[in-house]
Amino acid sequence: MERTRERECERELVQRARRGDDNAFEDLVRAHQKPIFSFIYRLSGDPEITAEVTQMAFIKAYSGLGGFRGDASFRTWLYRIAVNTFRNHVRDESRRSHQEVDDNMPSSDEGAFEVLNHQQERRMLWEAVQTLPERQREALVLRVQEGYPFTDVARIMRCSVGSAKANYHQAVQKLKAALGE
Amino acid sequence: MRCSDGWVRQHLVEFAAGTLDEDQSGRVRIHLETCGECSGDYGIIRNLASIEVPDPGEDFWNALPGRVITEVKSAPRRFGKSLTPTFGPMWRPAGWAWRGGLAAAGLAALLILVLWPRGTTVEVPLPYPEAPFDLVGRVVDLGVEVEFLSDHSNDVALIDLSIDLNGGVSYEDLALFPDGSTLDELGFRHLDDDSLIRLEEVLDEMASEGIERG
Repeated sequence: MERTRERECERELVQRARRGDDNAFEDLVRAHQKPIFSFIYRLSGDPEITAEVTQMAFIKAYSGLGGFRGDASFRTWLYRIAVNTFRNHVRDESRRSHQEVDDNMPSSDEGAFEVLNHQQERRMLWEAVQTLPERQREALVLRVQEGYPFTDVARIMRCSVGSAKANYHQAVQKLKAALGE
Repeated sequence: MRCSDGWVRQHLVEFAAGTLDEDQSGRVRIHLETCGECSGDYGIIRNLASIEVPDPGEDFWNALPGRVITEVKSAPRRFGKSLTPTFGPMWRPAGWAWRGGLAAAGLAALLILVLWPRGTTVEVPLPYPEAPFDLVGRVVDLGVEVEFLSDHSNDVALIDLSIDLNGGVSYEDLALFPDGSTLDELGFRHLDDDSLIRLEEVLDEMASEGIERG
């Protein structure tokens, strides 16, 4: 029920924004900025790039609002734009194919000595994620960290469901190999 | 040993997220005790899900919505690098290999199909002051940008396709359209999803032919 009301509200905001109501679009940005930021960060591993790409994605969303037909949810549509924008960025900055993992690796509050191994494992995992091919990383992040079913992963990545699954499974296998599992 | 329970493999993410019901969770738990393949996958999934994202802070969140609007309003052409075309030797038809010309003509023909009337019109500022070519159309959708430029000569349009597709590629090309093609037919059409996919396929085909983008 609550969800239905949220969707109604969002639909209304989208319609208002399409009619040129900037306040409505700002509300849409507010509602989605954190998930989009998280998503891009998980793809990029770099907070500064994430901030830049997030802003660019919303700018593109604004300018492309007329093309949103409501076939997919606004959220899914935004993720598609975010994927495209991030791909644009990577292509523009071709240097990023093997981006170093910086010191911004998410820290943990667990603190206890016995979780050191766990933390190291996570760091290694994070590093391995950053070296995955773009499509595999996208499929992995969308499926595991964003929790999308494969049908939506495929829709966002503009590929078949089979391709989304294949990319995801290849990513998981590579990560397992990288961690020696 | 290969895993024999496809359902469990497909639902490890939901198990890690705690969104399965009790029976389903029990099934996954039992399976993980005996399946090395799935427990390896699950370890990866659980660790990935626990990776934290840094918070840029309230200032960032508060400012972002307004910044987006300001950016759009103040710099409508700065939506991507491809919106600043380069006017170099690539612009001269003489520099074209016949194969590239044919491919471009093919692409042009396909674009005519792809861009055929659907949806809304996109207006653009005219012209680029720094070049002898006018920007006669631009389409922006889903992070993809297509530009059309023309020298308006003899009813034959020289079109630049700066296609920001699949990652920042500024695909600069010239295509000769036959007499009778009107710029209105080409430049002011909205791309829908199917068209974008077709456009992507066209570009992939060109890439497989060894024709570089950008």
